[in-house]
Amino acid sequence: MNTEKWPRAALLALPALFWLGIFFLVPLILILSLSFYGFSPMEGVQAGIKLDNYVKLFTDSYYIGIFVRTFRISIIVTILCLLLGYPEAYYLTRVQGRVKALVMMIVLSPLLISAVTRTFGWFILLGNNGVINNTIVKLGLSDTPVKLLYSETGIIIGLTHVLVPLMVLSIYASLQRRDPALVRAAETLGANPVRAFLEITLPLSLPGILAGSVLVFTMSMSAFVTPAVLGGSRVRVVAYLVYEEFLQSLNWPFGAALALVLVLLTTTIVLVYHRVIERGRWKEVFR
Amino acid sequence: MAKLELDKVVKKFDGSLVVDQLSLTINDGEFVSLLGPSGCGKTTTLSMIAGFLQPDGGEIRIGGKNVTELPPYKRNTGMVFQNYALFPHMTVAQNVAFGLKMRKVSAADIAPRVKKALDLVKLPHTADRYPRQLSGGQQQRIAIARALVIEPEILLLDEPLSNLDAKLREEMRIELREIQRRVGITTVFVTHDQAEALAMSDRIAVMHRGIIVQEGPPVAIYDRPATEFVADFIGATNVIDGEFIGSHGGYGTLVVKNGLHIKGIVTLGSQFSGLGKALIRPEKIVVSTEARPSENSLPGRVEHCVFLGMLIHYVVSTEAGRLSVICQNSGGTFKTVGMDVVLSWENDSTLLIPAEAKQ
Repeated sequence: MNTEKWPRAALLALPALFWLGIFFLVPLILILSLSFYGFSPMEGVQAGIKLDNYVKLFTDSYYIGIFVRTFRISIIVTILCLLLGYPEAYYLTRVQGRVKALVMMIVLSPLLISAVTRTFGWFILLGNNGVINNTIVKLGLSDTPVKLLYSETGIIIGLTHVLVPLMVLSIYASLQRRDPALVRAAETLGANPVRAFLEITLPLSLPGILAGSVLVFTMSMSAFVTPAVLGGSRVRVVAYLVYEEFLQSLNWPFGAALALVLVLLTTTIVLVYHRVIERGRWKEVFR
Repeated sequence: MAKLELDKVVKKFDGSLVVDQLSLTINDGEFVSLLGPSGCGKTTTLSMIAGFLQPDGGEIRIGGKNVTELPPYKRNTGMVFQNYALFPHMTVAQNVAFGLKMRKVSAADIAPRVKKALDLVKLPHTADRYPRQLSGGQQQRIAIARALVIEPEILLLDEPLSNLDAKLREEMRIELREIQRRVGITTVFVTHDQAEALAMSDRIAVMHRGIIVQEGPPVAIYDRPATEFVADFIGATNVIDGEFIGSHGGYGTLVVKNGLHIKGIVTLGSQFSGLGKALIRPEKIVVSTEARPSENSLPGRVEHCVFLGMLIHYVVSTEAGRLSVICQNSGGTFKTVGMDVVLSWENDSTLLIPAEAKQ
């Protein structure tokens, strides 16, 4: 890096920094200060610096429960996306031309449909008289419809559907970069295809797995539309709770505290995850 | 260590023959090069020996055992790749130990064997480094150590020197051959670089369009090329077209269009007649200003003169066409462009082949 050139390089970053400052940093600071305000149903928001909102959040098991649920859903969605996305990404590296273009379109399809349309599609499919439950009952797998709508299962299904493309693309990018001679080298050294995958391909795709799972996890933690439609007020997640506090209870300070804790929690988990993976057995992969 | 036999091996890609009924035997401890231009089938042949590709016909035997159907991980071969293919996420020691680990060698036995392999390539101090911290030449040696530590029966080298710079390449030629001799391993070396093949091999198999066009020790390949293709691919050669007018005692005579007679060795028997070609290596021709006693001589005029330092390259126009001549720079005066000269050479430096043998 040429040190003389750096002021000019900084100039290039200025528009983006300006944008982030105005539309991200300032609102975040406003939310932070808002979260210390008080609120009463009669008099509304009251300025001041109080920890009431945080005390309420961290002592009431109801709110803690919703945080735990959101975390649980996000972890399950991340694992499902990884399990579904890895083979798909691997397959994508093995095909070419038209087949690849077609598969890529299928992979990306959830992102091409509007969130509301897609989610209401699942709403219809997952209902007690929906296609899925009718099939389950007809096949005799269960006497009564399985509770899919307004359940964590429904939210997990809906989120996995829309987030799997992010996982596929991340892993695909890292698989694409690998040198095919490495697997061949492993094979001549006596590794069967499974060992060659576990020792060579998998560790070398760790950066893709890491990027994909961070994307999927953070987006699950903050997802709103999918859990709102498929879970609603019966299976609340943190984002839905924030929405209710702001727009229904009009308790902006508490909503702000919830939002802030969600952001901090997600960031912390992601940072720890990064650290653990990057310092692990295959740390050299990240250099 | 073992004998490698390829028996009428066939490989097709999309219906076209890439390797056509190829047979080759490589003896225990022998170093054989597969030499040819890109697309000649040499890499495909190597891939079939390693087991990455299945032949469409024929048989491959290592140490007398048929391995044609075996996957690569069940054949006992070591391979060195063009780009080295070291595992970037493992240290040098882990790279070298990989094959031993896959073979379930105990940890106590792995360490001394890795050390021995690193000593063999003279890089014991790099054990804890990662491949990216090594130079190209060092990576190359680690790749060799990794391939040899498993004590394979056959060593396969896929253009292993082509990514090194010129000076290092020449050093590695000698070093690689030295290691191969010390270990005594049967080796197949794939290259498109004729100088490498000549310098390193016990035997060269020249490939063209999926078949072996000539096979023999480097001297025989260079001095007695069977076809114009071989002569042209391995070193430069002058080709003069003409017609045979008979032969006896291993020597034949070719008449060039203006009545000039060229005598030379006939290797493919002496039965052939009709159109033929005379092949003469540029360095076997002597350029002089006056006629000198010689079996073949031809007057001409210097058209180009290129000074190469150790060598001087002349292009001389003669009645038989333009001929290349390479002389040692042994001091004295150089011929200059436009100068009238006489080219002369011996019958033993001339090879006569039938015209249709352009393979």
